[in-house]
Amino acid sequence: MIERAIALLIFTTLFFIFTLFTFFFRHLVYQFLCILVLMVLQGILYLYLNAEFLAAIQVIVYAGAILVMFLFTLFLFPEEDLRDVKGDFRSLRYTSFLPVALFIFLFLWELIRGIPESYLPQKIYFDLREMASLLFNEYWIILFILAFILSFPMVALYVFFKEERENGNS
Amino acid sequence: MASNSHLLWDILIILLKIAVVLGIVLLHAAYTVYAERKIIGRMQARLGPTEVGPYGLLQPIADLIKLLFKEDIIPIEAHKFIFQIAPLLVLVFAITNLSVIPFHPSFSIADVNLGVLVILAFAGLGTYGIILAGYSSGSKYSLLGGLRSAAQILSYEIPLGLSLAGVILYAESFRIQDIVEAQAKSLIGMNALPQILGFIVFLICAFAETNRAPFDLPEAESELVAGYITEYSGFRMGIFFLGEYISMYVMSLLISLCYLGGWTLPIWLTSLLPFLKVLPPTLILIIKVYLFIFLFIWVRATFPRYRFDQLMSMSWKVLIPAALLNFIWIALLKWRLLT
Amino acid sequence: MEILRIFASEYPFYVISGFLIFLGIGLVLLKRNLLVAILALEVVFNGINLLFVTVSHYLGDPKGKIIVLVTLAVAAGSFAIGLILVVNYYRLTKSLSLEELKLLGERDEE
Repeated sequence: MIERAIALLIFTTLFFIFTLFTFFFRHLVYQFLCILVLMVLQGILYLYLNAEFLAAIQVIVYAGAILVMFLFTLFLFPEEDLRDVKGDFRSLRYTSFLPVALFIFLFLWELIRGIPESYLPQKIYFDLREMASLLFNEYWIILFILAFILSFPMVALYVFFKEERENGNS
Repeated sequence: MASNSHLLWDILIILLKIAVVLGIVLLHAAYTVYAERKIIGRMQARLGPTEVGPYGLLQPIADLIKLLFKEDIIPIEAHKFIFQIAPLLVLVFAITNLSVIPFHPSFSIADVNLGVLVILAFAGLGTYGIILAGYSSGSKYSLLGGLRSAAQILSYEIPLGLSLAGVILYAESFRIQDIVEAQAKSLIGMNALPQILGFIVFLICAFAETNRAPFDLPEAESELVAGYITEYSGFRMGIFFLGEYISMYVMSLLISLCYLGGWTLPIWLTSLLPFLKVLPPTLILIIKVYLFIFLFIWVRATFPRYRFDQLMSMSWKVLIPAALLNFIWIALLKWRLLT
Repeated sequence: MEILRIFASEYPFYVISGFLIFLGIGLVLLKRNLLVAILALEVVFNGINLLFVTVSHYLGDPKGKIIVLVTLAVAAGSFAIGLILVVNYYRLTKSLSLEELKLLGERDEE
């Protein structure tokens, strides 16, 4: 129990450090690198919740495909657009204090209310086959809905790039 | 699950395993450079290096000393921090693959339930080192070279995953030990023969994933002046090449474990020639790995290079449909086997 | 010790997902760049995924992980479309500033 506590303490401090870095760096590529580290750390965090398949999927899909696509579009822009100017905080700065205040308030309220004694999970599902059989036998309709939803990006991609081909721009 | 009382002992054993695996694989990677130059030399009707030691055997050591003593140049326009960590990213994500690969039925550094997905994840993370190396060099040509190479690796990861999906479907598990055992029990003894299409797709993707010939457009001397490696000199360039040779070993280990039966021999072979039963399993695996390394070197000496648009169109238009066909074929086979 | 018992329970996961969600909201409100706003939405998404998986673990129900698996795939597609829109917007207006974001439809290319 105690090594789990120490490990989660280390992870919380790492998350906190990298969120602060994301906020206070000025160049988009450095902010992006901090977010990449956050995604990989979250993948490792899923391992503590007995979700090993989700951990691998998180790293492969998010950190391996989505963020690479983001990096490719970052390099399409010239260098001066990627730099945040000084005096970056907009004129909303007085109302933007609200999310931070809300967070600190919730944090303190949880601490004051007290943590109940035992938080052990009731039944640990670590079997990949059980989850897979649940997905394919009981909730098969989700996969059809997923295929339906994913057809929209495909149609959208075709529509966006159709005009360029007509103009001979391939 | 490791209990608390044996924690120190377990950590010591894991460190020992890491030292053994790293020592052996790094030695192999260093001498593969020598073997490649010798073999390519012989294929081109000339001798390879013969000067340095007996038969040129100390050549890698001479190369290492030369790389270590070169001057470390960082261009002025480079982003210094990213320039320094980019080769390390490539190397780290290539070496970590070795921790989930079993060299023996009971020897692997980390016995996870999802060995194959870990290798796919680290292959996906390895593209970051290349893109960041190209971007942080501060020149437009390096950036373009890095983006091209990353696009190549990304496009060839998809048929890699799909052909592995056929293997996983056949073995009903993600662990590599289970995949090898499922092959040992099957009729032909290897995954290569029922899944010949998947085998060929995986072989081609293995060449493309490691930036080896005939897909080595970023490294060719006449293309964009060596692409993303242009501004790197001395030991940093050595780290890039070390990463490439180690990922070559990881790919050949994966092929021989997933498609050729790993450390087991087919049943019909051992019933024909019963003296083969006394071979240790690791030796069988090593012979298969050497076979594939020889294939890598042989292909480099033989085939011309692909152009970039030919490369991309081959991945998206040829390999992905082939891998999907293979998957459907394996699904039908499995359905017939189970009913 | 009290603090170690707090960290061994489900509390740190809630704190971390809170960090991620509020980091996302803060980045959207406080930064001027359009691409940072899109990145921040992904961070919020990850925070919510972490909440789903935490609750699914501590209540013993596997449905939370299935929800996360499905919505990850959908989020990938929607993120790609968002990036296409940003690139096309840049081609029309040549600027990535969130303050000058007032184009709602087509405009003649100059």
